[in-house]
Amino acid sequence: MFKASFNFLFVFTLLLFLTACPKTQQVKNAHHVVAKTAEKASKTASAKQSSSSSSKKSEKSEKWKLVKGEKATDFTLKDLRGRSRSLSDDKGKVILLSFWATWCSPCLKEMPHLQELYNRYKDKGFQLLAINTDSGSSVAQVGPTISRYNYTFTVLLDTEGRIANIFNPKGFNPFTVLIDKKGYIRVTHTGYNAGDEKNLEKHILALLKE
Amino acid sequence: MKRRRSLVFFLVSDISLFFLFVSLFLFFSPSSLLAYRLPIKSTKHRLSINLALTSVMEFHQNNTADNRAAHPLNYSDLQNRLDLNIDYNDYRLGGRIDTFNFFYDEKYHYKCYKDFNCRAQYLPEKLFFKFNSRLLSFEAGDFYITVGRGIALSIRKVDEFGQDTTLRGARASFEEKGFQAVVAAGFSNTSNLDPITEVFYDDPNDFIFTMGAKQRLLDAFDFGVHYVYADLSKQVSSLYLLSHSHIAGLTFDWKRLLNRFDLYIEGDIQERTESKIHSTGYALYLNINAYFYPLTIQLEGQWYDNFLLNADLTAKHAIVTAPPLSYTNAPSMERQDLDTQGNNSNSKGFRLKVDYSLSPMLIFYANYLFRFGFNSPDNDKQIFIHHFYAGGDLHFTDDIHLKVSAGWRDISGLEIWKILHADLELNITIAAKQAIEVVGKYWHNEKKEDIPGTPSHNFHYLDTQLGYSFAKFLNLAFLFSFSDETQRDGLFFAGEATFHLFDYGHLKFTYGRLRGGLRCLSGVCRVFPDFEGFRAELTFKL
Repeated sequence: MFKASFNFLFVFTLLLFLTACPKTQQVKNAHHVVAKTAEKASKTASAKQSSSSSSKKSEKSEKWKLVKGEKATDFTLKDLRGRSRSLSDDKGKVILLSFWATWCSPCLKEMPHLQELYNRYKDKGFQLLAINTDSGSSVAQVGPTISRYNYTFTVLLDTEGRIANIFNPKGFNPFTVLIDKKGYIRVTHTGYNAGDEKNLEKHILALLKE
Repeated sequence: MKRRRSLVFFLVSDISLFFLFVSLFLFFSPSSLLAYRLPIKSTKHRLSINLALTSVMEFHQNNTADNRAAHPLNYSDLQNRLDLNIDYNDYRLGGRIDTFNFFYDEKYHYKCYKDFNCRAQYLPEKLFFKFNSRLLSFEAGDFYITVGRGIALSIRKVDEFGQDTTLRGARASFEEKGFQAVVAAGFSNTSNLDPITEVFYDDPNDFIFTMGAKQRLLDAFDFGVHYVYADLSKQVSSLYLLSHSHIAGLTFDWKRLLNRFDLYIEGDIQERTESKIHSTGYALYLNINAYFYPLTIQLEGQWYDNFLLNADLTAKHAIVTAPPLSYTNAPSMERQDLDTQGNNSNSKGFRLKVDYSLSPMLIFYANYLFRFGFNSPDNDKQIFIHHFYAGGDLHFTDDIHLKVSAGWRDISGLEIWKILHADLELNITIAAKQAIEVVGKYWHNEKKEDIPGTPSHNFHYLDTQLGYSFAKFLNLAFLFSFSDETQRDGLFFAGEATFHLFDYGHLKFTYGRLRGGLRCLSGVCRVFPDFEGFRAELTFKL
């Protein structure tokens, strides 16, 4: 009896959420709402300082409207030169996080395409961070793998899997996360199949234009 | 007479099936979820929720193969896994809940429960709280941790192998201006349900404490020290088996020395006490990578002498191949899929690999490994391994990519095992978003006891896969395997279809018979049982 009641309650709670609009639309709405509110607030503030009630109202709107955030958690990892590198070091850029491992065949298939994207857009506000998830037992292979193919993008080492666990709790490899200029996660993708790089490029171009 | 429980019954009364129901509902729902408007005071604050649901339903048709020791019954099972993370500014709260149900004829209930410990499972597997700031990070609950290259301590996840061990306790770390310090303590917490053999295991609850510090000097190299204490004592029937270990070690890591070399050295000493018997172990590991593009050279060397930090396996039955439970993951220097010796505690040897890149489209490599010294539990005989393999990575055009390799592996000692192996992987892009893949692996094995006059046993493994992918929508694969190692082996046929829907998840179906056997991944090896039947997997994430 208790189980049945709990199950009903669980599903009912979830059904409440199902009335929301599609995800991308939500994010657009969210940014639209925040942007509009901010725009309204700035117009009010610059046009008439004395209109404190309306600016307060705008501030209140800005304060009280939040949507489910996809803000990327900041982290720090070491690169192949042993230097610490944080996600926030590339603030203001479109950032692609690509989780990979030396034993992952689809990861290695995807990498030449990631290199092409990096070459094409690195001077246009795009950054690629390839986060390697090899454990300590196989991390010795990472440097030679990158050198073999002469890749030039930044590789970070996550031997403990802690950062992978934040962005990719299921531990898929490869796993791609695309972050916009404001630090919000906009796209995630699991695996690699031929043609995925074209979709990825579309997303990157769209975010670079924002 | 008890009636067989039906799926409908479970659907309305069982949370496990409700997870599956919810997964399907979310997956096919035209809307996405979790848009909140929360009364939080400032837009500077952020709240986000991440949810990942995986449901796997299997029908096991024939479980009487030799290496399938658990559950020799025709049965179905449903596994669900829910990962939930809530982020608020620099704080994170998260957890994981696993559920598991068996569906079988009631007359097997007692046997299943008594012999294989199979039971419905609805426990929170992981729970954690994290705080991250620029200088400090703190974790309470379940966390992963690795020290050095994993020789002294490595507690992490290898999902594909059912290994997800954490420490349940607390961890604090500090980092600033090239200085890092970590201190952590907790009790080991493994995944209670092994998804490979579908047997339930209790948590080992071994106590582990570690602390370490690392300093970057001259903006060039890192020098580190670490200490690990583990209490592996256990109550077995009326006996209390005392077992604990102290490990102290140093690491030296210089990346891009002279812009050409990576140099890593680690040394560890272990003092171990097991049932009042004291022993000392040593571990020394060296890795040198040299970069002279188009030439890349990789050298690894190891000297492990009586160095051990493995917990006792918690499998209830010797015939069941339990998930690997080890708190270390020392480099074995082996190729991932060809590591046939799991015991590293007395391993010594080296590996040399040379890559030559004629161009990024044409790469050749050769690898030689020599290991010796580890003894089998019942024999003092030394084991020797020689392994040579070579291969190429060839892009004929932008659309055709071929990888080939072949090699010879020779193991002698307690038994003689020679392996001639060959691998092939061919990818052909046939249209803008469509590709065909052909994968083949072949082993010719020759095994015999290392006793003069004993006959050798020759057998073969062949695994092939023909796949088709249509980017972002569909993957199809036909799998064919062959093995003649035992009389029960033979031909294995299976088909797989994976449907992707947007980037929220996938639905995967498998039908047929899959060959089991030894698989190695990320330093973890275990024997997979054969599978025959039907499998459906639904993964959904927000």
